[in-house]
Amino acid sequence: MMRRLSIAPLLAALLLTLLVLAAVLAPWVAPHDPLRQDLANFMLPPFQSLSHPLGTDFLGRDIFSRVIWGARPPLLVGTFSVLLALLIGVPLGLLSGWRDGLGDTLIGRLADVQMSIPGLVLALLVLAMLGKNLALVTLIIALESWPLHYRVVRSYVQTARNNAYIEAARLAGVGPVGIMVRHYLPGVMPLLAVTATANLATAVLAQSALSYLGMGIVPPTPDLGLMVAEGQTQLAGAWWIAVMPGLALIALLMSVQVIGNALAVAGRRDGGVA
Amino acid sequence: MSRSILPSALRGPGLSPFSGILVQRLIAAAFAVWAAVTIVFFMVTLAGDPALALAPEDASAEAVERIRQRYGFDQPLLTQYLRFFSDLVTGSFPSSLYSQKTAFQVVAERLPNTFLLAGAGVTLGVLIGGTVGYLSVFGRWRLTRGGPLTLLMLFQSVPAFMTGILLIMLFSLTLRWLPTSGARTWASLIMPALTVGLSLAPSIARLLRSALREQLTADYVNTARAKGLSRRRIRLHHILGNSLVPVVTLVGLQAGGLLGGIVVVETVFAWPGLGHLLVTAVNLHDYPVVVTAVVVVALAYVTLSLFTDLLVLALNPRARG
Repeated sequence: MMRRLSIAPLLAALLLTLLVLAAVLAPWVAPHDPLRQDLANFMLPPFQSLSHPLGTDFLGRDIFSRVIWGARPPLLVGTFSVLLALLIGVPLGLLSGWRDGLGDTLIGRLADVQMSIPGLVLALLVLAMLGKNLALVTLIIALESWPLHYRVVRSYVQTARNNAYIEAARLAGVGPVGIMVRHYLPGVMPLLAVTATANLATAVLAQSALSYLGMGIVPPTPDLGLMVAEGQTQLAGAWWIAVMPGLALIALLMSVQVIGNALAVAGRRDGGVA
Repeated sequence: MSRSILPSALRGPGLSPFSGILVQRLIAAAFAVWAAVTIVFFMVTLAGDPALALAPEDASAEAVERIRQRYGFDQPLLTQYLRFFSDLVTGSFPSSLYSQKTAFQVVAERLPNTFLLAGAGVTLGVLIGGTVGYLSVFGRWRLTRGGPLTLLMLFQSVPAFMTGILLIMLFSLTLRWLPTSGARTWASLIMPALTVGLSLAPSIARLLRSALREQLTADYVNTARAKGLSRRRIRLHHILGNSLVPVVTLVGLQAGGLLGGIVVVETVFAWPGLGHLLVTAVNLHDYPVVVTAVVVVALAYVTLSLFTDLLVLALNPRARG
């Protein structure tokens, strides 16, 4: 059957690629040093000068360059916390789905407890005690999101383990690790693509919220959430200082969301378990 | 005409099959509170030196030692743990570093504001999400079915602080209708509540939509139609009533996210609630207030979850097992 190619996910993928490329290549792409102050040109409105296309902030720093650099922390934290969450959630899900028993119950309880703690509040507490640190933010977000992947993998394995091909593999002498890696893991990949994308959106959202609250990152470092918080004090006089980084964040989140939705729809159409 | 759209289970007197489950849920809730308090305790005592975190940056070693003794950080861990609990229960937790009142009093003062904001926000979220979800299935025209839903879905990718800032720009700076921050008049509640509501509404709309569509083809709908009931009555009483359970469950499941979201929204609008207090206290290293606030938030969260469980049981007799 011919697939209907929809335009929105393609546009979203293009936008996301652009944003990621700009952030990764920030030292070469950004026209100015994001930290350089230029008090002669402070609070310049956007779209008026070629040198500062998005204007400048209250210290005369170029907002365009700061937005490019500022996308790095959310993307970095987002990517690594999702990878870490997968690294925790997938093996636990495989183990838990493999056989019912004490192990399954224990891991399930752990996931329940994890889900029942208001994440942002706990993150505030940890960061207050241990200090602002991107690695710590990544770890906290990962610890909060692994149950998502865990649940999906577990329920997939629980339905898949009754299949004849698993029995056949076992009779052919494939060990537990072989069955998990060669049979379960490829089967659950499409589902993981969906949960990972959803997770990426929530992780970026969480990181930016923490930065906005002044918890995620130390001030001179450019970061979208922090820039919004700093710009909010100037909202009446210079709206662009807060709005430009905010729009970049929205563009980032929206493209991830659209791609995630497309993946979920594609998974359902292929007759996946989702 | 007082026609309730709630299923009869809510109105009937038969609450007796509840009690067993009620006890079970209460025990689970108590366990969750204990777990939360224990996690908080271990986090603040084991994560580095709490006395050092508490002290101002330029404090002398002597001052740090005084703080250590004042809060009992020099005691054995078990003693500290027991004292932590008894202090929390009796409300005699060491007083806030920046105020004459006890930490518990400081937190309690802010609590009503947070309840007000949460209540108003959830109400708005359910109203907006419910209306949009209902319209997306039963709207008369294509535009009323698709338009509001698409518009609302955009808010899924907008962080709460950006929603707040955009609202401030529109209603405070451009139109000059509403105050930007604080809680002096009732008008101050509108924007924070709307921000909370808009963050909840998209998922509510989407879930209600799929629940409604699932119910549309159910047998009881055909039966009701065959009995000659009006379309309005079938939609509002039968289909909507049966679609409420997943929505209530969702609102409950989102309670954790809601509490996190409220911390952000209170900060955006300087709304004098628990979340704003928590962020300020964290920045001031006001340890007693931080711990008390986090414990109260955990308590509120558990209570909300318990309440949701019970509401689902009331709405859906099948879940009573």
